[in-house]
Amino acid sequence: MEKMKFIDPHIHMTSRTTDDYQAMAAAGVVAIIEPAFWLGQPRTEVGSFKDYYSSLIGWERFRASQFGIKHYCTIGLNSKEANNEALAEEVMELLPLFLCKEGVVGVGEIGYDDQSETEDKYFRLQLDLAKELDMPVQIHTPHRDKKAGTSRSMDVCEEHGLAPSMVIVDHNNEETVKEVLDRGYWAAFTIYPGTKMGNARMVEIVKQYGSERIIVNSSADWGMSDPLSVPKTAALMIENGIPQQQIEDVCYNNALAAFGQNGEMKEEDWLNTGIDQTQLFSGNSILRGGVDPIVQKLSNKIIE
Amino acid sequence: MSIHQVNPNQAKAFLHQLLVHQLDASEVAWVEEKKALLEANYSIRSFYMAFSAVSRFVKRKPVVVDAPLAAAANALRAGYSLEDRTVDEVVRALFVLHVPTDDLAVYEKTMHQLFTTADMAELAALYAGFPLFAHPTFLSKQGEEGLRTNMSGVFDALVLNNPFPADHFSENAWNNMVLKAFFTERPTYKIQRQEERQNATLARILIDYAHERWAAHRTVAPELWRNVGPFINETYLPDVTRALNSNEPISQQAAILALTQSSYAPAQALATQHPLKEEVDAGTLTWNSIGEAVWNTTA
Repeated sequence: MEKMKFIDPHIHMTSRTTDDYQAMAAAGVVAIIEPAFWLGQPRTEVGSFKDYYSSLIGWERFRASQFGIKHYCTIGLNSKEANNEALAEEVMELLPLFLCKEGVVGVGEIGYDDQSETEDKYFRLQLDLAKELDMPVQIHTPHRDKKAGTSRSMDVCEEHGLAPSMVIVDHNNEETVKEVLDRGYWAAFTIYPGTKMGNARMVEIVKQYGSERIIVNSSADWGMSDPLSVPKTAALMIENGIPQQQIEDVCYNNALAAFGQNGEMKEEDWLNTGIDQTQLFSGNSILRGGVDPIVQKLSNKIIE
Repeated sequence: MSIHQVNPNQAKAFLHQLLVHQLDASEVAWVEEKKALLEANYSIRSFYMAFSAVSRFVKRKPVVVDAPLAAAANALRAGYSLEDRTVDEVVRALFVLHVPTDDLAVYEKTMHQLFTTADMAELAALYAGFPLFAHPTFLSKQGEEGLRTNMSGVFDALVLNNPFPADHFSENAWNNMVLKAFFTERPTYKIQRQEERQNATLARILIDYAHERWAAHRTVAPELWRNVGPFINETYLPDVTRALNSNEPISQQAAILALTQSSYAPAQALATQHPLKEEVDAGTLTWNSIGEAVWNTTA
């Protein structure tokens, strides 16, 4: 069987281990997008946001590169923490400094959590920033009251003049997908055990809706989640007779098309690159003294 | 100490000229538009936006260094080199030269925010630009912070082909830098003016490091003996002799070179009777030739 490449366009590597990076690379993940989100408990100082954003464009990207994985990110103020208005004001001042940085492929993940007025205020302000800088937007749809929250997110995008083609609506399910696709948005699905989607359900979605503008991701983070969601879902789709082209679309091509729109993410960024662990800092980095570095060209593994 | 290491207008003119020759017309137009904006109406926000946006408007490619360019860079600031640098880094350095330098507090605040929000390419650009920037005392403090980076590209920009560390780092920072360069397997022969900054403490640290490596059954970088040579005494001589007796030709060469740099009579005697001594005398065996041999065979 032909080797498959995958993009996981939503994964929080800051919370993951080097074992995950190795497993992802071995399974064929070549590029990832790490949206700025919350870290499981609210931050209380603007400096925490600054260092977090810095790590997304700095250390985490470097760490990924050591495993042959190209790391991009989206930068934004997430909806949960937007509810701390004093802090949110300070974070908004930081955003212009980070959004123009190399490898920042969009504003995200932003949207609604409780659908409070404060969340609404900072969602709108960030949509204006995205419009001004001509960047894609990655929208986190709420867990609670999801269907209404998803519709409202799209309404507000349109109010602020964003083209649906520049907006990726994330964490869809069977209840939201039709409207999102009908209105011309990208529909992303998070394969996250327990709370969001299982991959058997994902297979049914693709059977019903095809692959146009549909994107699969893991959203793996600090919770019970699976950094191999995308390759595993592809494997399940193969077993269930989904056409190869459709699998490649939802697990690779569509993510590239959607997040490549501001020119920061390009296929040539990861084609023909290999792992070079000699770049590692063996004293105090991920590779500790005593381990022989592997220098190998990336070879994708077939998923069976 | 002057707040400037280089006349800022000369530095700006030099970088601008370089860019005019090496960028596409549309890139030059963008750089000149931003430069004009910063000259006419400087604001922190417009500076940060221009600095960040460089990667969107200037394609990363190596600076083409020919002999006249290398000479001009060195004339601008002794040791300033564009070897291994990229054009986008030059654009960023040019923009930094537009930050007002009169008020140290404002300068420090502006630069601090720049460093603490920078991505890898920006950090490399900043450290590579150190020889041209104002307030070397402030830069030196920031440079010591830079030595703590885990990102090799950032470390290299500060440490290799850069005259700033030799000019401004304290002995302690210098020694940390050299040791870390060995520890992280960087091409140390690209560290400038090592002979000027050699010291007994560094020699002792490197000898300890060599012992640690040998104890773990690992190899010792041949370039390490460079900073030991002038301090060879009865304690260090057996270690250099061990390198001399290794079956690695490059280690033997490095050991001979170190021995010839010592004024300790037994070391000199050992060198004199060795066949490689001729190459040292002829000037064909140098730390540079050793560095190039090491780094070209392992590349």
